[in-house]
Amino acid sequence: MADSKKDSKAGSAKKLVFHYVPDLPVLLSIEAKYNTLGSFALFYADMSDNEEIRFEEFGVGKKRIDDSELDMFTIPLATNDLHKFVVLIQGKYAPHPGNSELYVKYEVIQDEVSQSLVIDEKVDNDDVRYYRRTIEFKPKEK
Amino acid sequence: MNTVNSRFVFLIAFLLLLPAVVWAEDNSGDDNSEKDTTSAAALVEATDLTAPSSPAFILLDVSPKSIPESGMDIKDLKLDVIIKDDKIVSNAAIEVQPLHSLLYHGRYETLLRKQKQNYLDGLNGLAPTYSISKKRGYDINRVFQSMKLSLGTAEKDSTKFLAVGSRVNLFQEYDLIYDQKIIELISPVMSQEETQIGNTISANEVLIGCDACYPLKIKEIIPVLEGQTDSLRLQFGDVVTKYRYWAEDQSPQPIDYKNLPVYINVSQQLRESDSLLNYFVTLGGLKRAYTDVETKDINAHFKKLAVPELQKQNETLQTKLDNKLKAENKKRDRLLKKVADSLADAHWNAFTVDAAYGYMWSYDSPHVDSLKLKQEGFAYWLTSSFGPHKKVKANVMYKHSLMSGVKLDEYGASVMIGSRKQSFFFEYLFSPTEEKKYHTLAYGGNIKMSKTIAVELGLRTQYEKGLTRLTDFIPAINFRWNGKSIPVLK
Repeated sequence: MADSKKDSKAGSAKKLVFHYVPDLPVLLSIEAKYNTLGSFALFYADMSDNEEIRFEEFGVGKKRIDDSELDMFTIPLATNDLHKFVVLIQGKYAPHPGNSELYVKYEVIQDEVSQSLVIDEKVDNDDVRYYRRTIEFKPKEK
Repeated sequence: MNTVNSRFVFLIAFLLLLPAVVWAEDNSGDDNSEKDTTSAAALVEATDLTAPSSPAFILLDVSPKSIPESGMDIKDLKLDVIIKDDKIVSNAAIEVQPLHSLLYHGRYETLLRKQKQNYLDGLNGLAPTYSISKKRGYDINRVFQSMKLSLGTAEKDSTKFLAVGSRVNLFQEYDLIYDQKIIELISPVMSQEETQIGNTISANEVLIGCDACYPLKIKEIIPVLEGQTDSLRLQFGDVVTKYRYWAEDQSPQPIDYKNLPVYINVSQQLRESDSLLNYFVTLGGLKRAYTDVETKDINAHFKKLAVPELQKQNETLQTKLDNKLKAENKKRDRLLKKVADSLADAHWNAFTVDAAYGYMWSYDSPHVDSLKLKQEGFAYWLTSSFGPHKKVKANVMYKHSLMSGVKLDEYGASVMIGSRKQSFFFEYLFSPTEEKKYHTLAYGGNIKMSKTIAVELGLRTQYEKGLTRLTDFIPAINFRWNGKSIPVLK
């Protein structure tokens, strides 16, 4: 949880840098509290190509956030090459009716190591907002 | 149709009340008439819709109905000024639901933790530790969450009373905010266009935030391109040379630093367009870009020239996205109101069980610092509502009270026919005291004029000795104002 960050401004380029160990699969979990409602899409972009940066969709494209389900994805990239990629989570969330809190947490997990990013808390009721977050990967120095 | 119904209900209620007025005049000589007038006045003074769910108000007899309706779920804080200039004000009321926000927000924490554990168990090839099911009906947290506290004061026969009460909802069959239709409706789903806009913004943000996106690869790629040009010349002869010079020296296109990545990946461009001209235009652009920035740091150059442009583009896109969101929200709210209203109407008689408890004191000095309270009694209630038919709501009640040393067990039932907006009610209350057995029959109607204003018309009759001797007769009109809104309509 060393790089845990908190951000209250939607739309800003908040990055999560994950230090990974090569050869182990990396998971991405998206969880909600207070019955936050919304959908998200996951993308990755190859940064090593010197191409115009283009995000490719992967995994489940759109899904409703639900407290009763934990959304968990394996990042579909060769772990040794992860440093060449940027993963983007694009979400659109709103608080549950009768509630004024919104809480979504992205977590990158590898073995017992995890780093999390809480995207937001306490927004006005009925407020639907966009959140774009990128995750960059750096190999862990031995 | 609604207007016609409202008029009809109003007319019936008026006809019901008309004889009551005549009767009251006939009994003008009766000893009880003064008492009747006071009670009726007290009834009319009650102006709070939540009164039936507030035990304190019932104890003070400022509620228009004897049988509280269960299932009223009101979250808003109701506050009248109860203390003014260090004096307790008569006929004031306060009602709060203190644990609502605390428990509502926290009650899923446990569920989430369990889910995660189950997931990790699954990863490790173990059976899930917890069995998880979403509670819709009985939920102990919901009981505390629904707890309402009421505090009220009233003045009757020059004696001042103070009462406190609490009400909890033990069971609720239907909860609007968990209705799948509502949840589906308010779940924000990203449209394709929104996703595209978001992608562009993100890609721009990645470029803006990139410190070393463009290592000096142009130097490396140009010889490769030159080699390709040679092979093309062999293939196409002089045309290639012509195009090449045209593209490199005479292209009117200014260098677009934002497109540096495109220039860099010329072979990709060639693959896609398969156009010789395009190839040379790109090569020309690349060469000029290279010449231009040869002696400088290409990243610094990019940041200086392209970043402001990308930022400007992102601002425009963000505004576009925000505007889309605003329009969507408006549309969604309108639809939500309609759906929530129709759902609330459809489930107006869902099965609920409520319990309430109240304590009452009398006091003589209204000053807060010298307040002396004298215990008058207490009462508790158990009520339940259910719908035997979609147009019928039945309430049953058991009440136990101890008032001024008199113990009383009361049993009551009421039937409401109609809908959430307008209904007729008929209620029966049996109050056996040690001396006499009272039967109270009441008839009336509820008309909801708008979201905040409702009128209750009622006629309460009390009998002794079976239903043979009429002892009390109270007609009442009660205007109710409420700040209530169905939670999702906020």
